[in-house]
Amino acid sequence: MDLKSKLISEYKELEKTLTPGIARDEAIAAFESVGFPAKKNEEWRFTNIAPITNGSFTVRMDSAISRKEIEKYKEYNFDANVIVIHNGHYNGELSKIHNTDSKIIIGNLFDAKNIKSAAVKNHYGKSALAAADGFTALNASFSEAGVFVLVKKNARLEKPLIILNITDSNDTMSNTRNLIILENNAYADVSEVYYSENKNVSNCVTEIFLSENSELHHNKIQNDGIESFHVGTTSVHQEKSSRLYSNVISWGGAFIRNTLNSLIDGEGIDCYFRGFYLAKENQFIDNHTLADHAKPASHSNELYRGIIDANGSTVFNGKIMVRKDAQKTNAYQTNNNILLSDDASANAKPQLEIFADDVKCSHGATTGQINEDEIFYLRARGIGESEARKMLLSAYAREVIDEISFGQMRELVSARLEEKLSS
Amino acid sequence: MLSIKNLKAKIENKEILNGINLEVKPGEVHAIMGPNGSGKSTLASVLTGKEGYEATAGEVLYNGQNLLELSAEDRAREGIFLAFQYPVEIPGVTTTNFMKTALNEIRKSKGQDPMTAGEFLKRLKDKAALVELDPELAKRYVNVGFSGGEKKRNEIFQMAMLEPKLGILDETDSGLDIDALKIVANGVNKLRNKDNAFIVITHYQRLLDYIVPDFVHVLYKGKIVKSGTKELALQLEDEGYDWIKEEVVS
Ligand SMILES: Nc1ncnc2c1ncn2[C@@H]1O[C@H](COP(=O)(O)OP(=O)(O)O)[C@@H](O)[C@H]1O
Ligand SMILES: [Mg+2]
Repeated sequence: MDLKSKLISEYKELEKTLTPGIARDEAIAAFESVGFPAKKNEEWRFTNIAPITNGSFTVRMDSAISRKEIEKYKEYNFDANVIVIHNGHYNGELSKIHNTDSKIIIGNLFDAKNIKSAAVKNHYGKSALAAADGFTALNASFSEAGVFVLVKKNARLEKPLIILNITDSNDTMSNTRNLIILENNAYADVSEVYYSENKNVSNCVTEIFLSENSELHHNKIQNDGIESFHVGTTSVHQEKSSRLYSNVISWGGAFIRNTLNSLIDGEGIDCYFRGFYLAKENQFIDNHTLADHAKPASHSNELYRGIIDANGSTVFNGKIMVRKDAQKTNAYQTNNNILLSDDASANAKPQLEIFADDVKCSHGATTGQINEDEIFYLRARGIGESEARKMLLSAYAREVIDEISFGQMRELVSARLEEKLSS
Repeated sequence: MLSIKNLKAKIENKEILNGINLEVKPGEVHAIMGPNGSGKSTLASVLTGKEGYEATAGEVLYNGQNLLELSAEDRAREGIFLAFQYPVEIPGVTTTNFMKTALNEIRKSKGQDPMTAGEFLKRLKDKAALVELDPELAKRYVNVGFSGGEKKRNEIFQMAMLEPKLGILDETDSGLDIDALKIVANGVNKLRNKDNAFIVITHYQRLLDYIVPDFVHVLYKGKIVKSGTKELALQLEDEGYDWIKEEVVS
């Protein structure tokens, strides 16, 4: 049986046991009709998903993880709210939620009180549309775990929230689903951290709604093992004067596809997309982004940088859309790639679609080698060649990593970077 | 200290240096002058080990060892310093971090422990004062957004930080106004002592009013065609290079 039929039949078996209250039947019907993205789909043209569709993955999986095991993850011990999701199951016992502010809700999205709440009803599935894409449809069909964050008007989540996703099952597909809602003037800092081992697919969807003058710092940090597949969509809806700071760090996994969209639906919005990716042996990392300017006088700014070694390959596809009404838009995008080997490849595809006439937009993409004049300059001061290379690569990556505002997270990511550049 | 004998070198199969002879002893300052394209920067590149510059004949001994066998970083660790004609910008690396790494790599190669933070900061402050460099500049990315003059001054600052035995200054004076020139020259003079030496490459005599050389050499078409004392520089200033070119032809 092919994977599509297998998953549809699993749905039929599991249907009765899945948390009610969301439009699952519609989602599986959408999956049945659109299926997995085909090569001719423009958004997936350079992304070979055959390693996933040729696999035999089940959505059934068990979770057992001890406190001792979880404590090995540095993030777990950070000064933060931490939610543990293991093998697609929300682990309330190991989660640590310090928040006591009654204007803030943090918990499992699929708890009855959350899933039935008006806030969820009004937002769930409204940004990441199940009909838009097969993976999103699958997620909406099967998702049973994920984090709900609601920060009400004028409230501020004092400690950052870390969603620690750990997956170690074999031949499974997990479908986690997060929903983050910031009301007017609210503030939060949320990191999704992924660690996968063994052969499995993480199919994750995060929806984010930012109301007027709210501010979200959102990090996605992918530390997966060499057999894992990750397909993730982060779909954002920004209203007037809201600020999004998104940092995506990808350096694990056999296959990563990140889709990041923001609908810039008001004036005075700031939308920052930053990404750093490092692809080595047999790794494929694909980032698709869309800054969708629907209203006038907002600002988006994107910087994605990659290092590609051995036979690693990457895709960066960044679209800036400026709709007819979005006059006075400022939109900038830069993508840089450094290739460290002859077999490495980087596919960079910036797209500008501009339907307004009074805008400032720019984009630039570069792909090249490390600059030998810079290397020589460092060596001429006594710095060894490999140290010089490391220094330059580190500096290059840090211009992205330094943007992570959560200090402990930034330091951990920086330390990991140094390790990765040394190995 | 440095003994260059009949050095020939090529880049991309083009013969640039055609048999250079030069002896530099501790405590000396040698000026190398010559028209554009005569091979001055090429000589500096060959001495500092830049890739692509291939010595095809002759030898270079530095304190008795075959310099051409050493990697660029080992030459620097042995005390050779080049102030670049065109300093390179290094985005993302601050001058402070650059110098800390360089100093500690040099120390490591000698089996010494890294400098303490206190020692390093003191040196940074002292040396910045020596070349009248605003210490704030050291917090910025190396040469990024610096003016031409600031870049040149940053080279001399780095030289002061690393205290080389042999400093090679490649047209450090070009692009400097007279005040900056005096500051740079003053910095170099303060670094001079009986144990170190400098090769000052320049196009103009002007710098040599402030850094007074013991010897002046004229490089032309990849060869030292004339050597003398500082009076030679004055003569070149007055009469240009044409008479040298004529002498070479005849
Ligand atoms: N990387 C290079 N590739 C090819 N030719 C070069 C290169 N660098 C310098 N040259 C040539 O070598 C000659 C000497 O250059 P250079 O050493 O820079 O002279 P100077 O510093 O005296 O002005 C010039 O003819 C120049 O064009
Ligand atoms: Mg030159």
